[in-house]
Amino acid sequence: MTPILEIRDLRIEFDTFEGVARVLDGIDLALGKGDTLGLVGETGCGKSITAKAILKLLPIPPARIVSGQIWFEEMDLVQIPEEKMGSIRGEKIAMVFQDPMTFLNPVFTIEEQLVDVLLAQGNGGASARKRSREEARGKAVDLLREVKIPQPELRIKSYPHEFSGGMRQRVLIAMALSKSPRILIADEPTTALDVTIQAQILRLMDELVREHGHSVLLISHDLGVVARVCRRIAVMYAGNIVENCSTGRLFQKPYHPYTQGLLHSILTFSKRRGRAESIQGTIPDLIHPPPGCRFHPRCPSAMERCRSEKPLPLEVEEGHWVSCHRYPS
Amino acid sequence: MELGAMIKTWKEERESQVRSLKLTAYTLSRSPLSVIGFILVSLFLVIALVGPLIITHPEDVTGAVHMDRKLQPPSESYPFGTDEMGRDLYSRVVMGTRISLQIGLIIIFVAMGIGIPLGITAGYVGGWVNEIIMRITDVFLSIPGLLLALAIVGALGPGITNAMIALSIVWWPGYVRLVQGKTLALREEAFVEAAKSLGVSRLRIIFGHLLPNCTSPIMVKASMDMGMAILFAASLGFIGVGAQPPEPEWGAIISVGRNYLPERWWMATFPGLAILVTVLGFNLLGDGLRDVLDPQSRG
Amino acid sequence: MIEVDRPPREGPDSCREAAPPSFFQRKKKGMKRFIIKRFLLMGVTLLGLTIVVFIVSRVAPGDPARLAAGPDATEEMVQVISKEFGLDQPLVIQYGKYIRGLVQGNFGRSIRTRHEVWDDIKTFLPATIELVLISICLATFLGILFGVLSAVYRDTWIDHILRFFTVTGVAVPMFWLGIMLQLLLAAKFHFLPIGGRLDTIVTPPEAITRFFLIDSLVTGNGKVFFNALAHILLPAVVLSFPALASIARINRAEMLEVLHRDFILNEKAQGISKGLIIRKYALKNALIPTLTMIGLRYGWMLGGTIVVEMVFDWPGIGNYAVAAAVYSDFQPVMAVTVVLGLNFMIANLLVDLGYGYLDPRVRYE
Repeated sequence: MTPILEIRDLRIEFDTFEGVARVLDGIDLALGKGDTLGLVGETGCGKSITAKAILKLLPIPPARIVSGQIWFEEMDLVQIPEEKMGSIRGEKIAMVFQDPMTFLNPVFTIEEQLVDVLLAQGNGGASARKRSREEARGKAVDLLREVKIPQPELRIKSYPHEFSGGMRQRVLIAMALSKSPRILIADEPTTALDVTIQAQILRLMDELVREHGHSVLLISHDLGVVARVCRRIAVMYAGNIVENCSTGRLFQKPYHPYTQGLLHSILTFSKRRGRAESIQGTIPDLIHPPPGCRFHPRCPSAMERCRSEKPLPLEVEEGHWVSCHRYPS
Repeated sequence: MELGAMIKTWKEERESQVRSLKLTAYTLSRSPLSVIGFILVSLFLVIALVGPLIITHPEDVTGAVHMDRKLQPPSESYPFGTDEMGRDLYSRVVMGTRISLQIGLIIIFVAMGIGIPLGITAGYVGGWVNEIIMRITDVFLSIPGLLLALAIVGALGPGITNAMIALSIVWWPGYVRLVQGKTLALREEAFVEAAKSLGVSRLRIIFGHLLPNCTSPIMVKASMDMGMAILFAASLGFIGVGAQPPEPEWGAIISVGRNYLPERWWMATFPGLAILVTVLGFNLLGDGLRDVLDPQSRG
Repeated sequence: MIEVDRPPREGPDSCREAAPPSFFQRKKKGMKRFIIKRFLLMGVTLLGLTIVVFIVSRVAPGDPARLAAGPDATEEMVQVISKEFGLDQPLVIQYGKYIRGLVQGNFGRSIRTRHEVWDDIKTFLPATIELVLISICLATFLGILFGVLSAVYRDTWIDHILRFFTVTGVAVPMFWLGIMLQLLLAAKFHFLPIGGRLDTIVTPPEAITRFFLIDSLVTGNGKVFFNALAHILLPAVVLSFPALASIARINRAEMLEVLHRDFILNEKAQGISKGLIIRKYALKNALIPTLTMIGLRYGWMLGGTIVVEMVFDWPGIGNYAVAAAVYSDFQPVMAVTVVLGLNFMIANLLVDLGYGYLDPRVRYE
């Protein structure tokens, strides 16, 4: 079955004061139709950049797509011009951001922002909806109702600062789902929220996705969050996907030393025995990354080969991919 | 403490100051506009200082009359032409630089001298003292500057001195506001509380802690204000209540030159260009300083 | 006090929070009280202003009565004039009389024109207001426009040209700019008139608002309208120039800053067009600090009108004040200061109300 979204060998560089940072080092990622894929990794590993790259939201002067393809609906998003992206953003692929306080415009009502999103034509894209403002207003209220905001007809006239964090996150979700996109990308949607609210939001997202059949790419540094919602998980480290498999598999039988380290640090803590163990070392400098496998300086099972040769993804079991020299073909 | 140790600590203190000065210079040099500002201001200062050495007709600067050469267009011997009394305009404009510098410096320093102490007092003491000082400041700030200056000079009589007095009165409230706001914010900072709890005297807190933190915004404001003060002084000179002829003040020259337009354009043009370039220089320099010293404030 | 709302505290997201009041309920609650408080404060400030102006006028050396009487006056004549203008009484009494007069709308009598100052002001004020209003509208509209263009086309030739003008615009002396433009456009090339509000042969329109532009339009007098327009063009451009430059600069800086914010990224991601983002979503945010600058520059404009009226022979209260000041005639200068001071205070009130309109987080205490 062809995936609905496929990223092939995506490489992205960033110009910084101190040099050129190679933030994405050849990403391969496939999102199946109706699937929920989680992208997990530490802060700075490049997961957010991957998400933004799909919708071409990266600021192109400091950022640069060096090579690679992003296949969606038989188009390579990397190649298509900006004008065409307008009909994809919000319409076919939509994004939910974290920290809803800063991602909603503070001087406009929720209604205004939702209505303008609904009316955004996308340059006559495939689903060109000619709506009147009145119609859009009605639809906006319905959207708020769907994300379980009470008294939506009243609350829609409020401003973002009058909502609590959880409510604002619901608004962001409503915005993203407003035009029934095929793919929903959620970039750390619960990171800025309290734990109790997190659970509510995740449950909501789960319901909505099941009901409408979106394909979902969920990005988070929190394995727990990702495990709850996603059927498959891809683990990312320093600009590379190191492991990609089903959720169950990841927890039962992780192959990559990094994944193992991650799980180990969670599990030892939850067992309440001794100290929480962490992976030794720190994430590498992306301007001068380690040669070969980028994880090798921190890897307990590093070999000679790891220092010079970059490991390629290998299917060690059905549907289970790992990039590590420990598992030769 | 023995002498050697004292000298050592003094040197160390100076070192960090020198380093921050170097950093300021480096950052400033990054922005081309700031560099231009710095050059223009330096030019202004140099011309003001060496004025008497570079003018061609020193006797024309005040008082001399040569009716036979009056109102001649710019030429080799008279680069800016001559005025209605036959005086060399170039020499007069150059000496006008000195006058403008004096005016600007005096206004700014008097304004700071009144405004900064009042501002610190208001901010530090707080309470009804703060209220009174700020209300008075508000009254002055509610009158458009040039208008207030006009009223004061109108009352005191025309002349450079009175113009400087008037403009100082216009300018001091700005410094009160600036310093009061900064002091108010700083007062709540942890390091002030720490100093107080250690028993440091009020005066030392003011001079040692509060004042040094105000220097950055003050320097930025002073730089911008220099330009504006010179502009206002020239405006008063133009109106006729500032510097009086035959003083070679730029505004006064333009005021007289206006009567000889449009054929004899040079008298009104060159002094105005001098004002423009000078104010531009101080503005650019102030902008650059603000980017370096006080990036949060704007506008 | 203007306060800014913080977002409600995070609690269990019970979805049972009360619905917030509508916009008007929200605003009107504090707004009326705010305006009243402000007017009271303005009254106090105005009082202070009159004290300052009064003290200034009495600090003068020289005897205004003697001046008014002229060089050949006898002692008796000076005494008579002194009594007529009440200049022989103690200062506090003079001030008391002055305030009492003010409240009744009596600003005293001008020694120079011999009219009631209030009448003089009524004659000259509309000209100044018309000029200042046109100038601030010009400065605001073009300033915001240039600021947006400069930000959107950052670092292109458009930006560089605009930045050149805005940087020099703040530094240029208004009176000199006026003279230069007069020289070039009026004297040399005869594009525009040199000064005044109308050509001497043109009769002013019927006095309804005393704004020539409005009055001529309202009475359908096209010829007068265009004549008045031609006359107001140059002074308005000169008066608005520094303000335009300042407003453009700060608007540019604010637009650039706002365009980097997260919510702009979100709007882009949801498919909202770049044009809509710039002219609606980013601009409204950028206007908030710009409004501060507009208010500030309005104040400078009220001062600048003095020299602009001089240069262009504009019959406004700026010119009137200058003539009075040079003559050591205090009443008019004091009156003009009070009138324009009040004008500026009202403008500041409007600016503060404007914040509330632009930014919903602002609350009036």
